[in-house]
Amino acid sequence: MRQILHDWGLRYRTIFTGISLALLPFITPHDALATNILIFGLFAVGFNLLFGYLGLLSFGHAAFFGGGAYGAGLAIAHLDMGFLGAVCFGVLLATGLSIIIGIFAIRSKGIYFAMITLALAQLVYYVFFQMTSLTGGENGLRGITVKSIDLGYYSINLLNSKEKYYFLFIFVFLALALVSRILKSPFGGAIEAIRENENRAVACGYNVKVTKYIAFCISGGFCGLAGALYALHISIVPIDILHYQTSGMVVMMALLGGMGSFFGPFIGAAIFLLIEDVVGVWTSYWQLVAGVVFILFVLYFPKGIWGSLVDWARR
Amino acid sequence: MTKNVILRVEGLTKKFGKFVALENVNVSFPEGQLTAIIGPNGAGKSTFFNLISGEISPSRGKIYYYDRDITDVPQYKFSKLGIAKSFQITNIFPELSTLENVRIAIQAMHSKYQLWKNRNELSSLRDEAYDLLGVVGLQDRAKRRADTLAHGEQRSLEIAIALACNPRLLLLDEPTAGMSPEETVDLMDLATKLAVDRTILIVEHKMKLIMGISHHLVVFHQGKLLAEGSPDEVRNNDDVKRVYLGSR
Repeated sequence: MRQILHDWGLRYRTIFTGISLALLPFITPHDALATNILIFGLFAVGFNLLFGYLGLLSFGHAAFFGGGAYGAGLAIAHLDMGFLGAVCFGVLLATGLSIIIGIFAIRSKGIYFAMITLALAQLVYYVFFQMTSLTGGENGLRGITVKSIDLGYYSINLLNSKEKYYFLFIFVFLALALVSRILKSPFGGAIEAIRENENRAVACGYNVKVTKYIAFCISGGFCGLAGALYALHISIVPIDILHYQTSGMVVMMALLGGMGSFFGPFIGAAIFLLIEDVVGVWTSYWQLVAGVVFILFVLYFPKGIWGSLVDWARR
Repeated sequence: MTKNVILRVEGLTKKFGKFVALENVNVSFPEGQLTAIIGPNGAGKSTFFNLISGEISPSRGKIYYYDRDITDVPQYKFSKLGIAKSFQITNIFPELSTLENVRIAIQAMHSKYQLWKNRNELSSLRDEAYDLLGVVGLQDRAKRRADTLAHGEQRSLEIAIALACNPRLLLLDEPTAGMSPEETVDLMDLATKLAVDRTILIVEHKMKLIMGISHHLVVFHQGKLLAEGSPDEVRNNDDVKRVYLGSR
């Protein structure tokens, strides 16, 4: 029974995740929270591709999320692009950043990899911080509101929170389908093999560095998509988005939900954002609660919420 | 009868800091034979094994595979050349299924960076992997997670992984380490069977067993080549008797 549950979960994970996300606005107290879970969930999925499936802990993924957000923002503010163009531009900028950062980071392992990604991401932060005329510096990039999208016969009103949610949902769902496809591909098998045993993978004939590098860039691209959607969601790009706190947050989300599982990152994002949303009303020290929850999980459920459930199912 | 040489090393030397682990070794391995590398602890067997399998690079000297210089070839290219190895310490993909362990190794020969196809639909790879599990007698374990296998089974799985690239030269580093006597005998039988159509190089401690199955022996002592030849020649070699066999 459990085995069947597990196999089905694996086979229909994209559809299952899609249905859950489609129902999300009816569960959350307000639509903005649902939209945040949607976007940060995708961010965590992109991050988890590297962390959970390949086993590389990056502390610099703020650069790709922020890069995607700034890419989308800059495309609207300076290049007069529309919604789609802005999303594409955001993904391109984030992927470009990951291509450059990856060259330097991928040759190192473990703590060194984490530190190099952290340092290079902070470098990106300061570059965007200093380029005030282009990025707005510490005030963030403003004036990038997209009110509606004209599809010819129908115009999507992005000021309506439900319409906006389901419009962004289409992008997230397509991205998830793509991630799932990649994970099921021979390449997906190769990255899992490298996580499991790098030496053996080399002996089998896998070029570990190239494989890691490709995975790093793919991860950066998906995080960039999440960032671009986030910029269009909140109509501003705050400079904090590039800060290392964003990198730390996505690590927490992935761990809370369960790294190495497909749906886990969404659970992690939901828990984290729920704590912020609920506890944040009472006290500005909500991160204290998030921190305690995080520590408890690392100590008692190291596989995260979803990861523990998946483990139970396949036992 | 002259035989082709599959692997040849010239002046192979490896230093770790000031310690000379292997000094000026010249030796060649005939194709199609089962050659055993023996020697007491610290003789340089493992260093030699790691050098010829590309794990570490030599301080000096050259390694030739069919007259091709492979000294500086990166390790991940060895499997494409037809050189495969099993490790001294069990080295599998623990959380993957037994079948996937072998399938992933076969896949490395075909489509490494393929992002789109579903890997489970590449049925020829699955069938090939299943056949290889048959060679080492693990077909009924195909669906089990690799880390749930018994130790001896894991060692066999490792050989199946090594066979995935259909190697012409198979390097085995103490394949029977930690095995029960029955498992050891099974594995030696397997090695003999595999040696029929490929060259095998095996590092082994269990002298009696290895003498029985190998065609050719290479003896190391204190980082140097001490002797080589047929089991009988080596058994009657005075140097070998003194440092190795005599001490037992």
